[in-house]
Amino acid sequence: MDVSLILFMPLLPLAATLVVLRRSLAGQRRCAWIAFGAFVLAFVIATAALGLVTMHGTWTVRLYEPGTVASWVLPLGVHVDRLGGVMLVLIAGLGTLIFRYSLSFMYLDPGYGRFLALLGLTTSTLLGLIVSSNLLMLFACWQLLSCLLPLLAHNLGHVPTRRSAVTTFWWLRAGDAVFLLGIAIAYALYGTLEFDVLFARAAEDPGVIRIWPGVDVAGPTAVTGLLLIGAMTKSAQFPLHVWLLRSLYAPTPVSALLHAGIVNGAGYLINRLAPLYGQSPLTLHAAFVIGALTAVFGAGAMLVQTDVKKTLAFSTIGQMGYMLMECGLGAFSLALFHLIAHGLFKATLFLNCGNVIHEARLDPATPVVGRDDDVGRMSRLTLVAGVAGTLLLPAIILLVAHGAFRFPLLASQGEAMFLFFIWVTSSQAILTLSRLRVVASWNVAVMMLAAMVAVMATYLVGAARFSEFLYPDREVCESFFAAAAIGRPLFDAVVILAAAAIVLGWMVMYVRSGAEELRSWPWIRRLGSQLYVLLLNEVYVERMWAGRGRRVHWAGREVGGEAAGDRSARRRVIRAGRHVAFGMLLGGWAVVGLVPFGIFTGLIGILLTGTDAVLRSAVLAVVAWGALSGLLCEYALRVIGHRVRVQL
Amino acid sequence: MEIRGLVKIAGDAVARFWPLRTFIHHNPLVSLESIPFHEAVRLACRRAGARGYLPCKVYRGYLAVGRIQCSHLDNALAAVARDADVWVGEGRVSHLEVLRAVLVDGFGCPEGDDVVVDDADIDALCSRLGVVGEVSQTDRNMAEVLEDQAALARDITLSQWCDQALGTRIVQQVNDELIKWCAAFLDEGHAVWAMPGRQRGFYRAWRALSAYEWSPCGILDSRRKIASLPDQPEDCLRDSLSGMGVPYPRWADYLAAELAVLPGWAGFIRWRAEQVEYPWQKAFPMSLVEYLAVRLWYERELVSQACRTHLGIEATFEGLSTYMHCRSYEYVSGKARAAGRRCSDEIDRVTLTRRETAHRLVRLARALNIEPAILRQAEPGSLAKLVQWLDGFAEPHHGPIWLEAFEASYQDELVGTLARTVGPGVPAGSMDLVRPQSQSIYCIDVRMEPFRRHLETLGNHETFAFAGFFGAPIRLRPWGTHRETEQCPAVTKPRNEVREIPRSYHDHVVATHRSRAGILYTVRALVHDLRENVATPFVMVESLGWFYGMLLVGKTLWPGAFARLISWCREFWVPRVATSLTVDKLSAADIDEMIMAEQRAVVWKTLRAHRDTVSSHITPSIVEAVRQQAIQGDTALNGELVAHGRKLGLTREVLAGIVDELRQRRGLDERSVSHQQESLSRTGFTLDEQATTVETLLRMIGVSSNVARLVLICAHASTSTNNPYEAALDCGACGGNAGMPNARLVAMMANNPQVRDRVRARGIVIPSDTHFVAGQLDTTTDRVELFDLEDVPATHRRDVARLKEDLHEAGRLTSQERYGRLPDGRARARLSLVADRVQTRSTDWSQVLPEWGLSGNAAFIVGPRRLTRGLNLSGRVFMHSYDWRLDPGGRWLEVILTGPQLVCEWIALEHYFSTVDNEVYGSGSKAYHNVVGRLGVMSGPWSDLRVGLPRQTVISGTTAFHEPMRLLTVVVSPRERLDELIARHELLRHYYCNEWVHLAVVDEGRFYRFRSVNGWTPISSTLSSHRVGAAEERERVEWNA
Repeated sequence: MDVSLILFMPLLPLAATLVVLRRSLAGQRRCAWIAFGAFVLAFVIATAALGLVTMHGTWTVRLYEPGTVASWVLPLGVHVDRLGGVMLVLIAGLGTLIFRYSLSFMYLDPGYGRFLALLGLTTSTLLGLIVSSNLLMLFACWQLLSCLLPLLAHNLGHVPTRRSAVTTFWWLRAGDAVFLLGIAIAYALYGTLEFDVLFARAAEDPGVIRIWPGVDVAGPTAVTGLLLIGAMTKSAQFPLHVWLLRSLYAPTPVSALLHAGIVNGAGYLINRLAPLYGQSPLTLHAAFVIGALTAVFGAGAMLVQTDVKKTLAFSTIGQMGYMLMECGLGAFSLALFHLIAHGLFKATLFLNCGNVIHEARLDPATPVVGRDDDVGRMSRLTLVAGVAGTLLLPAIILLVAHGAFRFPLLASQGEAMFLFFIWVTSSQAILTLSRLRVVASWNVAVMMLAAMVAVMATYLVGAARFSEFLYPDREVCESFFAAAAIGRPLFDAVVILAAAAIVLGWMVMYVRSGAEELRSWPWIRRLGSQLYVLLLNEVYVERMWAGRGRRVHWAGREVGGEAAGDRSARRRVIRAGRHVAFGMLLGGWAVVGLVPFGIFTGLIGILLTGTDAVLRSAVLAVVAWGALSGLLCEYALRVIGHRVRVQL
Repeated sequence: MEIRGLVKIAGDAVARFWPLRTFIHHNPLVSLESIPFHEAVRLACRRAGARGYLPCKVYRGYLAVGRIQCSHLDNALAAVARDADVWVGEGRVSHLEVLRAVLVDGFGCPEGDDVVVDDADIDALCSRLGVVGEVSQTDRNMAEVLEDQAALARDITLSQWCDQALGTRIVQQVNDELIKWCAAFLDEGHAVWAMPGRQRGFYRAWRALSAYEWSPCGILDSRRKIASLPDQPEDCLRDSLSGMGVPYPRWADYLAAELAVLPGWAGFIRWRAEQVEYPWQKAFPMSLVEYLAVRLWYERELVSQACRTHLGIEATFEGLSTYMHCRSYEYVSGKARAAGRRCSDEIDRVTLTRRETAHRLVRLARALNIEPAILRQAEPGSLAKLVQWLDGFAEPHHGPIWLEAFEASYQDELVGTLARTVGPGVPAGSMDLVRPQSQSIYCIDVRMEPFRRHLETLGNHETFAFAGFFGAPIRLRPWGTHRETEQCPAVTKPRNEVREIPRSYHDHVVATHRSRAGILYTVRALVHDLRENVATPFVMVESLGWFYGMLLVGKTLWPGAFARLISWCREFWVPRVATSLTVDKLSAADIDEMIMAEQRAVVWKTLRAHRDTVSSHITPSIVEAVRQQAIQGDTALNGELVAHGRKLGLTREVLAGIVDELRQRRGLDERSVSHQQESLSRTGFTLDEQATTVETLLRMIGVSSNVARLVLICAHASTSTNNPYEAALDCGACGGNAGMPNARLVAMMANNPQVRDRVRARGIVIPSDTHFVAGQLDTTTDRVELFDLEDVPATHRRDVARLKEDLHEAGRLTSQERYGRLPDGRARARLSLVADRVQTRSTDWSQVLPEWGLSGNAAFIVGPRRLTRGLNLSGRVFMHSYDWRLDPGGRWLEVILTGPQLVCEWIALEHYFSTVDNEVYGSGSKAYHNVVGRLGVMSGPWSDLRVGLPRQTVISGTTAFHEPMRLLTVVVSPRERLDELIARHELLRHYYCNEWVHLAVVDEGRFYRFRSVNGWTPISSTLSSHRVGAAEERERVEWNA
């Protein structure tokens, strides 16, 4: 097989897009099947590509000469390594499945063709992002995604949806601006955006950036830090997650694609730029803190949600936090492992989210007043056995893992951290089993525990093998862990604190199952209520941003005015807008994105000599650029919205 | 009046919302049935801003394709057209022509107006039109102010006023808060961490929690304000109303306007508050008073804050009225600014109006084939008259006319078809003399019609229709679950309870089933617990997420095969258990015996589970002693028991502990025993009740003799996955459940020889060789499953086998017909292909339209099958078998018209309103649905609870699949009888006189329409009446023979 086929692979869903954009509904339906074929083909090629790079190693093709004008205007290149291969299979697979799902799910929707086309375009962009051979192409795809997500909200005639689309757009564009700045600095420091060259030069001479007289930052740290902030918006990390909730106004398949494919941005990016991140401990520590915060926040807020989609969205936020935390600990490959598993998991849950009523019909819940009847009163023996089992058995599992599979227990801090999480999870499982008490016989309980041990062991082995597959060179892997290492006392303190908190939680649960008094301590009840309110209000993040946003967001009113009486004027606006929107959709990113980018990076490249004034003006310029393209896109969105409303 | 009373009055304006677990189709305007339909629609339009009719464009489309005929349009217009005309040039133009032109050409409507008109014509006409009444800006402002003053606190609330006048977003803010709290409070088991303190009621729980909030909606000093709120919600509500200075006479209106802002949540709260037996309501009470108290508190605070900052006035009704009056210019311009309008200057507007009028006149002339030149020369008087006519027939008047015409077109078609069949050529009732091969009774549902039609063509099968609960309203407790379902129409309450119990020969399977299901439950609970936790979901996802990938691939790419695989695995793992239903009533002795046996089992289990006992030592006498002790209550342990205990090696304390546990946790005390007794005594039917049920069923469908050897009682249900609205596809007469238990129950009753004896005594002979068998038609796959086949006598095996074959074939033919109607289906597709497609459809998780369900319904025919036999009614009619000759007192007809007809009306109007305005009355597209609290759906992450039907159920792409029209009831019965019923029942008066339902009657072979104004009018459209009469005459002869 000719390997250059891979080059065209990201274009297949795009071709599918063009096929579907037909006029009649019946025609669209027929063409959608052809488009689905294109998707399947893309998946097959992705699988082939993965096999190829596994056997023959990394493979790069560039359609341009690095350093020439072409590299600025059309920086198309393909760079597939094992990481890229795995991601290609994941994205092409998910894209295919979600496209197939949308084929029937969106069939009776008035914007059927447009929706499928956007889905194809988005998948193409994602694939393009994965195969990019340089930061510039990566960024082009990255920011095109930011432009596509608001359009994918689809129901733009609905005012809250449109507002949320605009919010999404602004958030992502703000992230893009920072991201762009990071790229600009990388170029200024190393003079190239080609991955391999970039890594080599960074390893040779990391460089230093002076942010302020007297404050110097190592080059890789500055670059990765800015890219991390950019990635944080796409991966919905703690204070920047607001848009993810807003995006739930989109149709269900979009949510599935978003939560399974797009929010993984940070995990992929860090793996892609692993050598750079491996050089910047500070960024990794920051990632760990942000990730841990996000994980706790997401999982906590998930508990109080009463609807399916927000529950899933907060779960995603938590999972993405965990993924970033893994990165922050240096386990880059595990983060990738996580994002794949999570992608499959979350896509399934989203696509199946209408099933809740079916479950409620089969098994309607009954209200629980006062104490949970499930929690039986336990004798002291059961209690002691339970606690001991909970604490010890997981430890045994880990020792077995260590002994039998040569899993490097305590070889590095990062791995110790994961084992810690595994321990927590298996203890919870044991707790649940004993709490339910539905399994009367011992042999069944033992069987379940055995099954659990098996699952855990498979998981450990699987994760280890995956890591070896992705980074065959063990030293590289360890260098990441080393970079992420923190001071021993600090680490010990973190572990002990977390362990204490969790053991305490377990004790409380056990005691609660036996004693009523704990529940009636007023301060605990009050604290519980306060925490509940805090989580119900999502820690007030949204409100804080909204307060800021109202001032920033000057265009609060609808363009054209919903109540405007002059019909012909509105029609004119719509007609004009149709062209703008279409332009934005297909060719817009080149105009809005790359040309200003070329100008600005050129400027920076010429002028940047370490003086802070230039840097600051660059920041301003990038923000201005973001705002400009943002306004255009926002306008286009509204116009589409009007059109949709009129159509209905 | 008491504030509760006012809230109750206000609450009547919102429609109840049943949880989606049992979707109940209902008329969203049910509270307005006491006024005529068109008025009610207008009123609802004013209140909720909803559309009451299809857009005129759609009706024009119907006209173009012939779904509406011109003659019907003229008939409908005749009611409003005046007998007047004007001269334009040489020609005469009548009022009717003008109105018709407006409708047909559509130049009064906003959407169809893109015809280019010559500017010269308009200019010329403008000058001829002269001075149209010009009003000064001040007067216009004053008029607007007066209108708004009248509407304030009646149609719009103070918060809406602020939004309109000041451009604030108070309604949105208050809604967001209320959605948050309602969702948290009303949640039925979705949230892992439920809202604390719910048992104290909504108001108190909210007060306790929101005191911890950091400045909700930016209300200043909120903690102190909330802490000082009164203890009773009524007081809080009254304080808010009087604090905002709403005049007392307007309180009920004001509250109604408040409820109309979030009609979904309010409707659910209203429904829930009425269900005193609903477990969630019992545990966590909530009422509209509490909802309104919280709502008005937010509103009052925000409005007063806004008024103070923007206007510097107090936010009271008086204050706002004065502001509007004294600073009218500021008010009107502020309002225009908030709506995003520029305050256009005076001259512009006058010119604009005049030009628009001229434009319309030119369009009218073109529609009437009048040259523009002639129009230009017409007299100013005529022009003024035309303008007056045009103005008097604005767009809101079009809907009723179109609807009437649309309905008339369908009704004429239906009546014409019905009239033709009773004519010669069709062998009506020729089979009556022969004993039919089988008889089957179906639900009245519209989806039964195609199936019955196909079945009848396959052999000598006779079919009937009866409401799908077959006259046995029950509360069912299925085996193996904790749930209970109410198997009856939503308007009735079941008195009898029925349990599903395993057949005793299957006891060994039961044990396996129990333990395997327990393991399955544990695994599910385990995954759930790990998923919904702060620390554990991460590793769980990493290790188990991969398995979800299999689901994802299987369900998406091979839904049919994957579903088969899953169900095979489930069957394999948890074997199915054959069950039976508890039909007969238990005697008091039986009940006691059962309870005792149950208790002994519990005691034995508890003793055995205790660690100190040896199970072989437990003797019946010990068990009995412990049981007695537990039941008698907490007196000291008696000596005998202690002695027994010693034998077992149990000390007194341990025994006391066991007894205590039995009482506390195993429900062995007087109260739960009496509760059990009561519940058991409600179980089953007495012989008399059974006989009555069977008799009613047979009599109402008009069967008193000539019963076939095999009678199938066929319920229906549906299969779909990933569909929050799956209950809407199930049997509406069974309260949105599968009707199978009712069918089984009635079949069991009818097979009981004792019941048959009693029924015979009442004049209905069921031959001894007749066997009743229960079945269930799956309306998504068109397959019929038969139940309780173990009870079929050996003599009937052949008949059953044959029937099964015919049912299967009829199902395939029905699928073929239905498949052609689906948007992605093909007419005349191969039978085998269709069966496969339909099957896949029901298991496909991406399928938003598993079947059309009840969409398309338009009429309800109450009469013998002879009237409709052999007719293709395209699955659009509900049918109820009825023979007036067997119903001398009109009692059954009364039941049919007040029971099943009500259900049909609710279904028809639910579909009607969901189609005409899917955003307000319907629930919007399924693509955005988000199930909340396991009870309903929202659109997107935050919204009102969506009521009504989803877009996909009624609208196909951009055209309406369901043709929205009111129900037409056709009854075969003498007119006098209906007159009598209408006079007796207010409900029927509302239906027919207020035109919520159209009524037609077949009397003596003639068709009559009931009109609210002039009573019975014969329908004479296409029918030759004598022919029908002759057919009826012959039919009667046959009947008597």
